Amino acid sequence: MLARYIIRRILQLVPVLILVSIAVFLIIRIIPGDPVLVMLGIDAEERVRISEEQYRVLQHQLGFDRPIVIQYLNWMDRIVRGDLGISLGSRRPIFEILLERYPATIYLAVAALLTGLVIAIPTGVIAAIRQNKPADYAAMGFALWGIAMPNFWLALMLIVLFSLKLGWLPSIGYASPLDNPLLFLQHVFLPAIVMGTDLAAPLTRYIRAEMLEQLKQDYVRTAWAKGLPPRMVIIKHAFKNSLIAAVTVVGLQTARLLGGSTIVETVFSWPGVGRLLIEGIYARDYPIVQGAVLLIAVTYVFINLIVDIVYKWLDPRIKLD
Amino acid sequence: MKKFAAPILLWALFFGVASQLEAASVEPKRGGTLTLGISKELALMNPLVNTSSTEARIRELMFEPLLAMDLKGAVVPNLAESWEIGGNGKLYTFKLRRGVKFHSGKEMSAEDVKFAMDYTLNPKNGAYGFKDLELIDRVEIVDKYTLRVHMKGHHPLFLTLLANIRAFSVIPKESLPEGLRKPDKFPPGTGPFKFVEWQPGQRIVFERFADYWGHKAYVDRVIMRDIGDATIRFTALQAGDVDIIERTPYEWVQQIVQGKIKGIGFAKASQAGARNLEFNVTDPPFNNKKLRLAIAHAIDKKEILQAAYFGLAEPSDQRFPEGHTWNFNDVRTPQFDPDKAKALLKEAGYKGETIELMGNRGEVADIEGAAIQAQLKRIGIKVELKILERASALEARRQGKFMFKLAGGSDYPDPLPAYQEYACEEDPRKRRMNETGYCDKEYDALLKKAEAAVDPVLRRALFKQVVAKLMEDSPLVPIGFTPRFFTFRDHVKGFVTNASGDFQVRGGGLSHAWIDK
Repeated sequence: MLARYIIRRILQLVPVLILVSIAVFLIIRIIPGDPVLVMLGIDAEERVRISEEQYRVLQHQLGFDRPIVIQYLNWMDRIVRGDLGISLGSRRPIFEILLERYPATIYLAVAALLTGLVIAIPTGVIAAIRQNKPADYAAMGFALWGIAMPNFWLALMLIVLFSLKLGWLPSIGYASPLDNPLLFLQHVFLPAIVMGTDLAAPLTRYIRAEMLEQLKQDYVRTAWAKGLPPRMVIIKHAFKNSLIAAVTVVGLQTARLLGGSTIVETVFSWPGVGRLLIEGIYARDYPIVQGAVLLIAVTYVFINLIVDIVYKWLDPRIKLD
Repeated sequence: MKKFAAPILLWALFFGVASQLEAASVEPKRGGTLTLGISKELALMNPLVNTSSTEARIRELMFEPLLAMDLKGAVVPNLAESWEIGGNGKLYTFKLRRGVKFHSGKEMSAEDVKFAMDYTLNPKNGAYGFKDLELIDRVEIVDKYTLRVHMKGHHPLFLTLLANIRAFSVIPKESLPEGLRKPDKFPPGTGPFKFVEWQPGQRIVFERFADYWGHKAYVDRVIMRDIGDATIRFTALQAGDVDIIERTPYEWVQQIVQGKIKGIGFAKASQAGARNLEFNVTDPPFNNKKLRLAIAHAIDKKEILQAAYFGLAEPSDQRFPEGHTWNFNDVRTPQFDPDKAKALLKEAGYKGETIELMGNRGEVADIEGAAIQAQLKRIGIKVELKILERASALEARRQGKFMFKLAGGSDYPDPLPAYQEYACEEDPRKRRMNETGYCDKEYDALLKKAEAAVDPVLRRALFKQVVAKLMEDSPLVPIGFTPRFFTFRDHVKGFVTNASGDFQVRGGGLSHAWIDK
């Protein structure tokens, strides 16, 4: 039953990806800019010092002189055969580049997710059980601050405090957790706090609201009446049931985190997919942009699938069909 | 107090540079690792294909041009020890330096130089220097250390171009595949540093080349870290994550100069960029020369540069800075004169239409633009700012889809390419060098004469006429020259750069930097 559902969802991925591929293929071409010129190294400061002959030869080699439909079909043809193309800038296979960049994004996303959950769950639960008390006001104040705070500003402030003033953490850079776990933790701490706060702020509000809703339900009142200890009533009964709404938020946010954060990755010089995408857009490196967007789309669809399965686990009454 | 700020700044700048030179005279220490924060990442491991000026600067550590430029900008021997020009300027004979080794250990020979030139001249390879070498007819090997280059025509700037790795750098024969395929690793170069590794988005590592033919580097390793945002780059320097950074934001340099930030020194690239205001002269409103001249008289260059560059830039009325060999201080140029501007505006028949000013995002075009907008408002011209990102601006410039724009100018060693930027082009909707669309037969004829002139006195006299004609027609208004600053922690000694701000220069650069701690 579950297997059939998963297969059906994976098949649904095909039309979604086709639509995404058409959209990204057209959008990147609609924005002004000539990838051949950018590729030839024309700086914003400089004049176009290239010869017509060289321009035409390269344009032909890259296939940009063909009709757009043919260009799209050629690209699709290669994708079906597992080839995402070659970057115009680095001339390396897109697949190889994405494979190189994606782990950094995944590590950061996981670290940010854990940070977000560690902040949001206790804060949300405490806010609910201490409704309208100072703890609740503090939690809601934090949530409001977290939502209103621009990522880049928080990132800069944290760098100033932890790197510049205290000298405890490096301001920029990356190390793989597989090569050097301690160095990774030092590098991931600040970006994870920034992205984790971004996630925790709305999540705290959702958890609080759902907890308040559940705490008013009859089954909770019954649990209290039975004389169950508070931890049992709050965690086992009310909290688990309040998680359904939170899972939706966490699912969507995780998909967003896995798409890479252009701002956080840029500020902390984190070599992830978000930074790759923004660099690709500026350089008009069409294959990079197309490949990265497809990867992000696939991630979204898969995370949504996982969220649906988690729903079923949390509430067996939910039917996957 | 304000009126003393500029002289104090200049004084401090002078002594800042002087103290660096003094520091360089202390006995340098060997060893250590120098970490440089760079503004842009390397794109590919092909030294003959270029994607950004930063990329070329990174490669200067590993690769070398045939000739070089000293810190004063004079062409000097490098991999070629000497050269002769014959055949009415159409035949160049280069004698190569003996015993130059590639990082692979192989000795450099004429075959390698020919390979690099032929590779560059193959349009299929997308090499950056194609245009520079276009006038080469063929390259002939005379013997292991002698090379003859036959030209299709006289090229007055040929030697100057060969002094920059953007034309081509010498790599071993057959070390690059033809076409757009990527090389898996850098081919060996001859420079003072060897390539060790590149982790995209993170770091590029170089190692001192012990068999370098010239001045061997003091440090063992150079690590470059890609930190795109200028403010973060400076914060990383202050936090000690890097030892030296390029392109430091001007506001921080000002604070260092004023002594508000301690423990950080700087090196100045004095003419890293020129700033100009350029008009699209083929379309209204700027096909009207009087309107262009009105604007030329209405803008106060010092005020613009103060706002955008904290007084660290020098105003200029020509494409070359004051005091430069190719600046003619007796040529008349439009000066700041609001009354004259108002009178010209009236004559031009301007009726209050809004005029768009285009600039590139990521520079300080928004600040410069706002200053120009305010200045033109004072004489009654309505200006709207249009700031575009790089690729979009490039396309608008090529197709002539702008009214007037803030433009960066390349730092040229010779007036010919600088003034060729205003010569007639075939298709005004497919602009190459001349983005203004200005096309004047008299100007072109003068430029051709200057190009053909061999006698230096005559050449100079002709270029003076070229400049006078251009300034009279005003397709552009030069604003000034903007420096760039490297900043470094106090333990970095001996680092000096040239006017363009290269990482590795003859007589300076990273190979001359050493660590004192």
